[in-house]
Amino acid sequence: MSVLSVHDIWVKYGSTDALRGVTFEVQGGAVGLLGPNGAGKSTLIKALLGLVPLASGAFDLMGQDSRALGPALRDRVGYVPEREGLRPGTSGVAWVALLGELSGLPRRAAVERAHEVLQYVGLEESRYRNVETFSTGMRQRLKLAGALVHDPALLLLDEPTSGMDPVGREEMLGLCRDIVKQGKTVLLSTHILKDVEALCAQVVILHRGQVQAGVSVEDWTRSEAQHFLVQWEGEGRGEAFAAACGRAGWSAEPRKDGLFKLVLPAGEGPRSVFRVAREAGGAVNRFVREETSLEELFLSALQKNGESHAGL
Amino acid sequence: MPVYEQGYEVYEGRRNPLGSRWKPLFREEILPYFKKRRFVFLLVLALLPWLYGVALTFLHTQLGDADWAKDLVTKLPVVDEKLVSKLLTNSYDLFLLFIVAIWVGSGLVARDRKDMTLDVFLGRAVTSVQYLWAKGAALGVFLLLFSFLPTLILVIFQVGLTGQAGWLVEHLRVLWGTLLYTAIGPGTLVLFMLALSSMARSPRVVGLAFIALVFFGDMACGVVYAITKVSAVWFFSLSRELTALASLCLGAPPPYASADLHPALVALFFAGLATASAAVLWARFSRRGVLR
Repeated sequence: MSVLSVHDIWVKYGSTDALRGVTFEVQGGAVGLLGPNGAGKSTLIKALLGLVPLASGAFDLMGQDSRALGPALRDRVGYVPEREGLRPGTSGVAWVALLGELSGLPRRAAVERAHEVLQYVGLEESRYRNVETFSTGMRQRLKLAGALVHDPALLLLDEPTSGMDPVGREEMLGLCRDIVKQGKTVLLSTHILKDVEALCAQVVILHRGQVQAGVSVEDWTRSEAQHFLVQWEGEGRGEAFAAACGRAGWSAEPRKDGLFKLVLPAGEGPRSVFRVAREAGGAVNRFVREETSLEELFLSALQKNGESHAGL
Repeated sequence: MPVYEQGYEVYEGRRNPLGSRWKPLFREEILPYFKKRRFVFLLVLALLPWLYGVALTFLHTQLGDADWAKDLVTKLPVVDEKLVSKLLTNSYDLFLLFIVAIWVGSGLVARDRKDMTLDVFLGRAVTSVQYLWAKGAALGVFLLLFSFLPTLILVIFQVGLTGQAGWLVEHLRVLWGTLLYTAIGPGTLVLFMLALSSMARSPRVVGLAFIALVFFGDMACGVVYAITKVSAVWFFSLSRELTALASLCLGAPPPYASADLHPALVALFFAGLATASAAVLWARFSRRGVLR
């Protein structure tokens, strides 16, 4: 049973379609929600929380129809908003306890639970301080504590590492990893691709309100073009090798260190490289397979559709 | 040790029913005001005119039969519907009522919009109706201090000091009339403040808008009335409508010598204001425009 199953969701802001038939499924673990600015990531999260009305479509949470669950659905979901979302003048523990109470925890249990989750996110020493005195990283962790206080099955994180320094960011990602280990499902909306690479096994790419791609990172990497670094030895400075690659329909980009960066279509492999090297009258001295980065995959997904990615 | 290695605990305790989720919001809205000395002082100030009512009750019940005080006491106003109507809508209390409405009411929704906590609250299992109920109830509790609560205390004093319920039976309208006034007058004011507060992100802007609409509305009506001498222009003055409403609810004479406000006009004013406020709230919350 999938944790979240989204079927053909449409959201309209006036005459503008913010989401256009979004469909995807989340089995569990951490899922990255990627897309340039204005792609509809935050709108999708808000739609899942009922904060924006659906024009059409529906989604299931833990196999139950969201329409049947009603507001009770939000007891199973935790939300870290992108924007501020904290009340000045309130202490960290009071704020988290209030959110716990709003999710149905009795007063005493909410306070106890607030202390627990604040300790979990590393804010136990600052829990009695007013939230306006918190640094950006502390605020993000406090928001995460607020999202965890009622022990939800699904966490919706909207840009959780936004504005954080590298150490704070790594701590936040570490927390997210641990949350996934606890059996929670995390939907991470971000434009920081490294965060997705570090945390997520699956990505959903949104662009202009539509799902551009939604697969596991591993599968996608396997199915896409392969990248190699090759050192060719032969007569000349490699012009013959570059020409042979061109004839084979590959991209061969010479680098300053004397290596060629080869991009081979899916289906081609190392054997083809060695064959082309021989045809060019030389041999391969060094051969390294380059991991395809998510960023390249992301840009390729957008470019396939002839779309601009300037907003990223 | 990384922070996330400190262990995550699963919550297995019970949860309160969905219908009670508004209560924490109500509590969080109301409690901070009791920590503000100026605000508490303002509430105490609002009760001062009612001390006059309590004093009259004391004099009539305790000294009414004393030979030496009889003449003096009979000249004093008696505690009845007319007096309660005057106490409810004396200009001093109405002014304080509006101050409290601005102080508490302007931030009801606007502060959550400003702090961006509205998404967080409505992202929990709290419906918009529960949210608005919690916020409205918080303002309503404070407005009760200007309406039903002091009346109730006065009635308790009256019955307690005489030791019999005869006065209450004779003046039962004091209770139900005040209750009706509270439900319609301050009740509509709560809806109006909620609607106004949902339209801005800044409590200050809401406060200024209220001042512009209510105080300047009153002033404009006064100016137009001075020129035209047609009291129908009071139709646009909230304070005068509240005064007229109290008179109608308590069966007291019209508040102003030249008043010719028809009960239907008063009813129309409050029905119109309540409907418009409810429509704004419905539009803002059902279409989620309030979250943008």
